[in-house]
Amino acid sequence: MHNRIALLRAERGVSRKDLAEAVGVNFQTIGYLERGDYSPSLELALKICRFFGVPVEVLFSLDPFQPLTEALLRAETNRTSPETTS
Amino acid sequence: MTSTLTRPAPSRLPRRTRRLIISGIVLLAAASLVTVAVMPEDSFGGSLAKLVTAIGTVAGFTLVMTRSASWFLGNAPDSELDERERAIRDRAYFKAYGVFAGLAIVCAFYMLDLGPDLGLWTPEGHSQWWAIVWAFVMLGLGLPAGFVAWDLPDPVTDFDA
Repeated sequence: MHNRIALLRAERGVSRKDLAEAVGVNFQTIGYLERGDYSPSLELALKICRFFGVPVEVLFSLDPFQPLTEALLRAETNRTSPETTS
Repeated sequence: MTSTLTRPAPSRLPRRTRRLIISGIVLLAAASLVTVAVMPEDSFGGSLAKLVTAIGTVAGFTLVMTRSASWFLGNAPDSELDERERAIRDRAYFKAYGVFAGLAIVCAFYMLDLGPDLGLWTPEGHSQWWAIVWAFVMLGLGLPAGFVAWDLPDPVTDFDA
């Protein structure tokens, strides 16, 4: 399972310890989640999503996430010339 | 679940080091069995080899069982562990049970059937049987911690990131 926990954590300025305390796990577990060494239970995944206030598909995916720069470029292209991409 | 927030993180060696230690203990235990079975009872070399391998095995088991990470994860109550740690512990107990049960069956077969039939060493007298019992007690207590030490991934070191 792939996730964007590290990205959202960096974006919000949240430390691993803060996130771990908020969702009730050991802070090492957050590190293993970010490294992809551990797949969370549904309960833990939902708790992390609730902490960040995002839907589960924003944070977790069975397929690799698109790189952020690529997603931004595509969004920008869609914004400037929607008729060519639609 | 809140108790997992305040407890300190157990210190851990890198996985490679832990696996080397566990492999060393298993080799020492095997060497200990071989010396008991092969070395003559009354020779100085035989006695020394038995003593060295036995002390090495016991010291190795003690090291694994007293390392805070492996012992804690192997024996802590559910309320002290989070879901990842409980999963590691449960897998370790499952593997330890398989190894312990397998060894017990092999040992029983050897001592009751194969050993006497082939004229190989089998325990005799009170003290040797007690040694076997204590070896199994140590094995039973140490195996879960050993599997935890073997399976735990390398620690995440950049805690404040």
